[in-house]
Amino acid sequence: MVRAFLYQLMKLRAILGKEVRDFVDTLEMERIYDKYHDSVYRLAFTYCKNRADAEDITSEVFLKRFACRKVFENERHETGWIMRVTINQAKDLLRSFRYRFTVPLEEAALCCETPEEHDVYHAVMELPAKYRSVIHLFYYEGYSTAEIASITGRSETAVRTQLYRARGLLKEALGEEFEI
Amino acid sequence: MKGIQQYCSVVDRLKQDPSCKQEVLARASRKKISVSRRGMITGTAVAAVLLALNIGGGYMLHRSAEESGTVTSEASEELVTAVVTATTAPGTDVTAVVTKAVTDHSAVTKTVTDRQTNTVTTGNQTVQTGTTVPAATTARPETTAASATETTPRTTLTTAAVTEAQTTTVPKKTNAEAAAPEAGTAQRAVFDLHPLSRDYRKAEELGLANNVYYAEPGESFMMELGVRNDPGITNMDLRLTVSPELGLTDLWTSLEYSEYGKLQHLGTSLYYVNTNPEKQEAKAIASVAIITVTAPETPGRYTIKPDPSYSNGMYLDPDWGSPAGYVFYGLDIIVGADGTLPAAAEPFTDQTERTAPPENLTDPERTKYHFGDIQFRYETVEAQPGAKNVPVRFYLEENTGFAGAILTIYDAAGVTPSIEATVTGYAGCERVKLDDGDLFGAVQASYNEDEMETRLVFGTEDGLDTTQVGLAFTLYFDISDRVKPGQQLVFGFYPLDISDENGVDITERCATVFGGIKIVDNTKPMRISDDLPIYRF
Repeated sequence: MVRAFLYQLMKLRAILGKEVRDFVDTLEMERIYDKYHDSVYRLAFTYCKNRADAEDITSEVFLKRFACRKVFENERHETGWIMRVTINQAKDLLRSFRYRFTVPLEEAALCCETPEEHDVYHAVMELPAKYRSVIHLFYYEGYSTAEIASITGRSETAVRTQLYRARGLLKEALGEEFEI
Repeated sequence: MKGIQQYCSVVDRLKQDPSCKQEVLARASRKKISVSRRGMITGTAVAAVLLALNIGGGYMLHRSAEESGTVTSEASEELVTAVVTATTAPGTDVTAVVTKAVTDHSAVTKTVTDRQTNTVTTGNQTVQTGTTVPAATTARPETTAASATETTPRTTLTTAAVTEAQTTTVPKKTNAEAAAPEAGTAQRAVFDLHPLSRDYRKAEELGLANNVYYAEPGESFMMELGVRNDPGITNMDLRLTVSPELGLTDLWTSLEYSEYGKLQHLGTSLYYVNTNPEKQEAKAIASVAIITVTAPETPGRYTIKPDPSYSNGMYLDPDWGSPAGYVFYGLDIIVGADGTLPAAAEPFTDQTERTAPPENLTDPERTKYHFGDIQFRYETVEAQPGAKNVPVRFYLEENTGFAGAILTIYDAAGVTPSIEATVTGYAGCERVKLDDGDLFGAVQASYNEDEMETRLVFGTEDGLDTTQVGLAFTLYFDISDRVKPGQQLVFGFYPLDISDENGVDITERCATVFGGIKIVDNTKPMRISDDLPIYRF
């Protein structure tokens, strides 16, 4: 009985007009993309440091998001999921051997307007990836350490430790005049 | 003054090229991705509500990026000699030897001896033999029908008999008969591929091997993999032979089997069900999965059918001691139909009595049915329930040269990797205990508990021959107490990224051959690895 009912439901979905579904899908995809693409792109950039790879990562992340059947509890949950997928995608890229055999052009310098910005940005980008991502998520995206722990899969203590060490490294690189 | 605000200012100015948005949307459209909560609202969302109410019968809200990609089956056209184990034990009724010709689907030779009816079936023909299959028969896999008969001499299945069978026409056993329970045995499971909510012609009624669906050129429809008389599947490695013109997308897992969604599209046409232990119950009728199929524009006949050469087994029942054969009806998709039906053929019928693990898995020569320029294989070992640190060695058998590789290994049900140490800086992952092999530098391993996936990264060391073969590495696993003697734990084992010295992706040239961990009786002395034949290079 239930099975037959389910079949009817699936059949109903199957016979829905393709155009209608495509239209609804496109609207929903655009909404998701517009909402998150900046965050995804910027986080990806902190890992790969170049536009082309960041754009590739962004594309893959959104394709995964579109294909994802997960039901998110709230917006924060969805954001966290997307951030986590972005990080995983970026790590996959960094681990790929194709990536290891290439030297990506660092293009972030193009966005710096003052020498101070250049120094600070490059100091952050010189940090190991795990510190870089924590700095980005904490200071730029404004996540709490608990949220970062959830996104990155680390413990909150580990995140706090990494944040502390990252600050120390930045101070070491930029001198005493650097202030968080 | 320098501050973190300056970092934020720079990041603020990072803007993605606006054209990327259209590109992503176009790719999503090409992949026929449908946004879940809106596009599927009329079907899946309601089904999900039903499932949430524990009504059952719905489909998993689960799909990975890999699954969403269009699947073609180029590799399926490269099938090599089939190796299907047919093993029977005293008191059993049937034995089957199935062979399959290299790369030629039409040349499938199937030899089935049925003790009940004393018939020999070859291809789509059946003859009476007048002989009785001895009860205790172990048919080892062979590469030709003739050699197969050598392993079952008491069946009087000679080459001549096979030849005669090929040329003699007699009324063949109907599919219904094939699927019907035999006296003294459990009912045989019947797998069935058919379009969902569309009219199609049933193989059982037509006496064909496959259901028949007449599709419009370019039509997309949902195809269900259903099963009847399921005795309680624990694992199912299902390899489908798919006409390369067909596109397979949108794999939906049925919650009736896999609460944590381990039905996956892996590689070209391989689906793996790792059943939730709580779902391992007998079912009269159930649905395993729904897959979206896109027919080509070109008129013709296109087929999706099981690949009997995939000898890890369509499924393993909870204990190997009970009869667990199955019948599988595939699906013929006819585009530009003129109303003619495909030629008659028997459905693939596995009548194997799984009273013992397949012998062929211990013999490396018989497991080489995937070929590639670079070929990995992992061995078959034996272990008792609850065993700790069971080593499984991974070999590189064929190697035309590569610089580095990333492999992924999905855990089998019933094993967990032995944890050695935590690797810092790798989110959510812990290191699997692992010994480096002879060939490479340090092998980096990470384990993702959520995905039950181990990833291995390694590269050849400078100055070493990149084409050498041998032991690549060894992984260690803990065996669950809940596994039963006779079970075969098989890992998913796939290359993710293999590059040559110039960084060129050569992943598609890589093949993997599966082994497994056989669970043996607690009361017997345990043998692990060293007692079993290991392929030396």
